[in-house]
Amino acid sequence: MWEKVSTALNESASRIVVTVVRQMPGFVALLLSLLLSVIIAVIVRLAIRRMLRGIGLDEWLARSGVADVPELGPANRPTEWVARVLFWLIILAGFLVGLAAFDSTLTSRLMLDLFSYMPDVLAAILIIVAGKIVARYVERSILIGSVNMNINLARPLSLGVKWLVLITTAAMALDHLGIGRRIVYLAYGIVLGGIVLALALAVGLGSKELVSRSIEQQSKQPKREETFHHL
Amino acid sequence: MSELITAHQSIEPAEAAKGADIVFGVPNCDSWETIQSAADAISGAVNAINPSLKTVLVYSDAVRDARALASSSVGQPLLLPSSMLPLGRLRTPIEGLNNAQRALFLIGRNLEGSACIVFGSEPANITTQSCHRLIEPLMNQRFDLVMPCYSRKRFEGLINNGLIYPLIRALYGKRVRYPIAMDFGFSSRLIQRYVQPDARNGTSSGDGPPIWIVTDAVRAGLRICQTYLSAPVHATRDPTELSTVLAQVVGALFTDLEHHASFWQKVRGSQPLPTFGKPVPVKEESGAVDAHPMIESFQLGVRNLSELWGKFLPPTTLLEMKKLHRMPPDAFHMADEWWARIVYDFALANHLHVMSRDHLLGALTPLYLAWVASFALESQRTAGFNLEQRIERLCLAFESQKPYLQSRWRWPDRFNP
Repeated sequence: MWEKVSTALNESASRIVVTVVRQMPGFVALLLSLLLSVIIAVIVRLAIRRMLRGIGLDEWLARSGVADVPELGPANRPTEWVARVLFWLIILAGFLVGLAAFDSTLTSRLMLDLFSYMPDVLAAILIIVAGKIVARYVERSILIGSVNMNINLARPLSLGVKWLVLITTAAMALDHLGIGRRIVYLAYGIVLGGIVLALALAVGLGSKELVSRSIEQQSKQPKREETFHHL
Repeated sequence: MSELITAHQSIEPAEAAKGADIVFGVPNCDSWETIQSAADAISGAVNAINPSLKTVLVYSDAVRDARALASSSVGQPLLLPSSMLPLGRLRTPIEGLNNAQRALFLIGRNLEGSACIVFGSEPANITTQSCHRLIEPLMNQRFDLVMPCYSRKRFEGLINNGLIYPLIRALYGKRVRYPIAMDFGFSSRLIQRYVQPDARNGTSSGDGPPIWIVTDAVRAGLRICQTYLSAPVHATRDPTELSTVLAQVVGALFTDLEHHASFWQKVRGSQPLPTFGKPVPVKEESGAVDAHPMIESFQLGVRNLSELWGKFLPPTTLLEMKKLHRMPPDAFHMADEWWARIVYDFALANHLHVMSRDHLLGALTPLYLAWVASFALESQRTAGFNLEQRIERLCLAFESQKPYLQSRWRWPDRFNP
């Protein structure tokens, strides 16, 4: 009886040891892969940061008005964000390579799913970033242009266009990710249609006086130009 | 009957024009009659100074008239068509001026001319006396650049009076009354300088006016003078929207001062230039002017753009603008010192790339209109208002505030709005 128990325990222990020993190279490979990926990620992060500072990405974005770089603070500048994203992508790649050492089929499947979805995620991120940049630029352009054209509703107009761009961006990003497509189409259609209808009603019914006043102002403008010559 | 002048036919006068003493450019003459009138005025002025001078009159080849070919009579300038477009056929006078100047620099160099004179204003203003006043300092007194002084009404050339002249004077130290001129003359030394590939040192802005002509001559220490032209220049209707014109002009100026910071930071005060002739009296229109639309534009700007201005204007300036916003229209007054500081803050924001250049320059318009409104109301309130004295006071304010720009330019981090 005792012999049988001892044999069973020995077999069980040896099975565990064998399993652990069998998994050990994979585990070491995972650690090594992670270590190597961290080293590469740090080097790439430093190089990218240096290169982007060298070409003046932050200054270019500030100059072109797409990002309010001075307001973002040193830790949130576009250069830092690009370096940070690349850093974590390399570490993720290292982790996946390490996982492959345990079970290549599981990792392959995981990798396949992840990589097939990755372009959509990247495209969605790009759409959101580009949409935010465009929305900000358009908002400022409309605000300044409207003020210079003496339009009293300059701020609501610029905010309306900004949110229109942002809503379109969000709808496009969700469509790329394949999340709630029908709901997104429907919601976007309702929102956009609602805005157009509201504007049509506002201009057609509620803003008769506003329109007539602005036409009146425009007809007065040449008088002012006769008195003041700027050039 | 008129015939077309072909490219082949235009080679001959170009050869004959080589070694001209003075090359005249008349980009605004768009008919044979105006060219002939300009030629008469030029020959009258040249004969009074030195009849042996060889002169060439460059006109736009868009004027296709066979009479131009047979006109090189004795005592008259030789007529030479060039590819510059008449100013009236271009989108804006600034674009036309750039186009004409580019063409004339090259023609002046190719003809090996001793001096070059550009008449960009109305053909009616090309008189014998005006020609004489531009030629004489170049040929007899050896000046390198002759700039014009125009006799204008108080509400004409407001961008020049309120911004360009005071700013260039304060920064570069020379009192060039009309730095963006339609009519001016320059020597062969300047021709050679301007045709160099690096002459503009990157300061040329495609749509902007050629401000660099004056600033380059000042930096090179060349001899500059001014002369009053005989006829007053009448303002025509501004060709494009105010914000567009302001952005073009101020943008070109900011680019220029960006490139020459090391020069203007060393300049202290300003010196008058030798000035010839006397101003022609101009009759001011009587009656009240309506500054309210401009005050309303400013108030709209304060309500909507304060947040944007706050990115580069100091809090004290913003506070002052808010006070101004609440002022009753009759008491509306923007102090010159504040206006000078605002212009300097915009120049600094452009230098620091605080935001898109288009947005920055667009955001200046309401503030500029506030200064114009203040100027207009002051001119009405003040008995015996003298334009030149008023502009002189503004220029002194720009000069007194220059250390503010210098310190902020050198140490921008010390101040963070």
